[in-house]
Amino acid sequence: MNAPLLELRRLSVAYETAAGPVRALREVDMTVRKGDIVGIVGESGSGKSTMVSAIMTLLPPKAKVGGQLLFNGTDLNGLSAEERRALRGNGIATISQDPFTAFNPVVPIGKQLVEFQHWRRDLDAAKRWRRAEEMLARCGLSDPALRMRQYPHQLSGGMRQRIAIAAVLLTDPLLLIADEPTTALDATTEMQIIDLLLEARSMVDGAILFVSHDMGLVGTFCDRVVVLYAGELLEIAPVDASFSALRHPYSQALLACDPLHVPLGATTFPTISGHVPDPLAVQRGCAFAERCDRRMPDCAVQVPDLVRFSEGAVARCHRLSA
Amino acid sequence: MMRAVLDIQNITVRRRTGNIFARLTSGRAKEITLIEGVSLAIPAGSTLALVGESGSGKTTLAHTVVGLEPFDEGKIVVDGESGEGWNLSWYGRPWQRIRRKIGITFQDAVASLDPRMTVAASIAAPFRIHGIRGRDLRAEAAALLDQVGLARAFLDRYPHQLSGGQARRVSIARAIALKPQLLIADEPTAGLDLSVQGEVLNLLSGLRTRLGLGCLLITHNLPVARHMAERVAIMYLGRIVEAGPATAVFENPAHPYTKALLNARGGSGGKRPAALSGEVPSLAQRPLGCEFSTRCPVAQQRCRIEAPIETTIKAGHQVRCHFPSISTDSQSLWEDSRWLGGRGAVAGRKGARLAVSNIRLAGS
Repeated sequence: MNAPLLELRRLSVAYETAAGPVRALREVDMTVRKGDIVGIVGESGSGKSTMVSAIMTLLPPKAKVGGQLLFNGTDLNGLSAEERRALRGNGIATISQDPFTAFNPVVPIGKQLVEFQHWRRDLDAAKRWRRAEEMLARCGLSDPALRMRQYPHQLSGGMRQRIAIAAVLLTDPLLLIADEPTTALDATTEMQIIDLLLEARSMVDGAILFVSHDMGLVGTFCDRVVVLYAGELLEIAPVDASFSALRHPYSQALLACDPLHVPLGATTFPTISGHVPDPLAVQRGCAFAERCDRRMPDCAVQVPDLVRFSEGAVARCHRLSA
Repeated sequence: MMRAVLDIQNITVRRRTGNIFARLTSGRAKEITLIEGVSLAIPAGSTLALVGESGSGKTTLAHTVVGLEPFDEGKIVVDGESGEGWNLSWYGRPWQRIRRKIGITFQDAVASLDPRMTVAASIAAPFRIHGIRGRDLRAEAAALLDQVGLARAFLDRYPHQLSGGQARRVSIARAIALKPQLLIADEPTAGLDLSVQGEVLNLLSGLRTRLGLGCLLITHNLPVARHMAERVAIMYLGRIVEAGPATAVFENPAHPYTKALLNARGGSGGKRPAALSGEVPSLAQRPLGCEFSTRCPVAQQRCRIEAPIETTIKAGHQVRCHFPSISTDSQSLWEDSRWLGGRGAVAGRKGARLAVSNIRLAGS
């Protein structure tokens, strides 16, 4: 077992607001090793984006961070602004959700891709240009020489997302974060990008975090899934296309809601009744207790502990700890 | 068959492109065709799902039906009333009478509500616009909120105080305010969390049965279309490439594009066919012949020259393809299409020009 690349130890993020403290992330424990492809799933307000921002060290200054966030053994929370900047785009890189705003609209693609390689001091401008062009070709763009001279607005969404992936791969990241990379794309283009990301797995000498709200995509792309709910980690489980290893009632309910998994002939769609708890409310029991159809008296009063089933399989539920 | 609540006959929508300066200097206005020869019918009380990727013209078609966009050719008949004579100048009395029969919910529910109007005012707006007097609008709004499963407390809220799912419900309440016969739902689940999507879809199906609504459901989510609709129409670049009963289209897709769409999101297993290559072509550079030929895995020479015409392969199941696969066994779909493709190529080589004749297929 290789050493962990990214380790979250009781990581908490809170914001002080006029109405009281908002706990956006609550004591999340997670370990990512080299070669892992981890899916992060959750509904809006679950803390996905907060977690990604924390790993990217891009949280706003007023955020109160607790716990430890270890990347390659160093605690990112203790780094100076300068050290954090050096890490971004080098050790850690992201593919954003929106390929339309990821690039500077007034600078040609080629020039931007050369700029991304500023840390490669051993290469001169011509070599960087050639390296970028080769990477575009590897990412399946037709006519890379032309693309290098074009501006972002001249390219379609799918092409821009390919270029964004090429840009990320140029930096040889240790940790690649793909934040909903296909939500802005059409179904047939989406599959092309997923195929490209699958190929990119072999080009990345590190780990990939794949943030998504689409369980189906996570099933095809990832080895493990992390389920977040209301800022809390509810489950980490190995995944395959059938999701047979999911144990937590919330994970199972979420999976059942996907129209793809609704049996044919069903007259109604499954839903999860109720709402995500108010982030201002003081948490008493399990975060999901109010909406859970398998809740017990204990659930409302006592926060369940994380139960460990095996390496890389944990869940936070009273039903499972019994 | 029941009377059609919506009957779209051969609608074509064209737009001129470029600014006035470009038009003057180039001497001739460039035109792009957004929708070309689309025909659809929705019987009263039934649901048709319009499926396609962005840019395929789904939303433009919906906007044409409610008069937000003019059309150039064809005819739209709503509940037996045709728009003869007012199809290019949409406004006026007859139009308003027809417009009352259609409710529409827009893609971005929050943006479709006026940020300065309360929920009650938004829901009551149709009554005011159509000059319906002598009613307690607040009571009407409360009753409508009740129908979409929202509490009365929402009456005095503003759109920014609503969640995505609540805004969606309010826009549905507004759409059904005047008891329409046709409801157009444009991407009703876009941007909603999975757990809320089901609630909105359940609400739509409930209202549909309770009010006997005909429904035009626009979506790019195939599983949703399959569950919600009796009929499905697949759009690509402004044309309907395949239309038929939902079961027929999903179980025996005949058009290669339909198959590609089904593969893209339906394949949850490990063995997934290769993704479709290329991207949707630009409307300004519409491919010659069949629009899909640039990406089609089974395209032949003929497809690049000659546009296919609509063929009926089974009762109510139409496809616009030179080499559709027709089979009851989904395993042999691809073999079938190759075989047909081969035959077409041989015929071409012999110089037997097939002209515009479509191949007569089994069951037609």
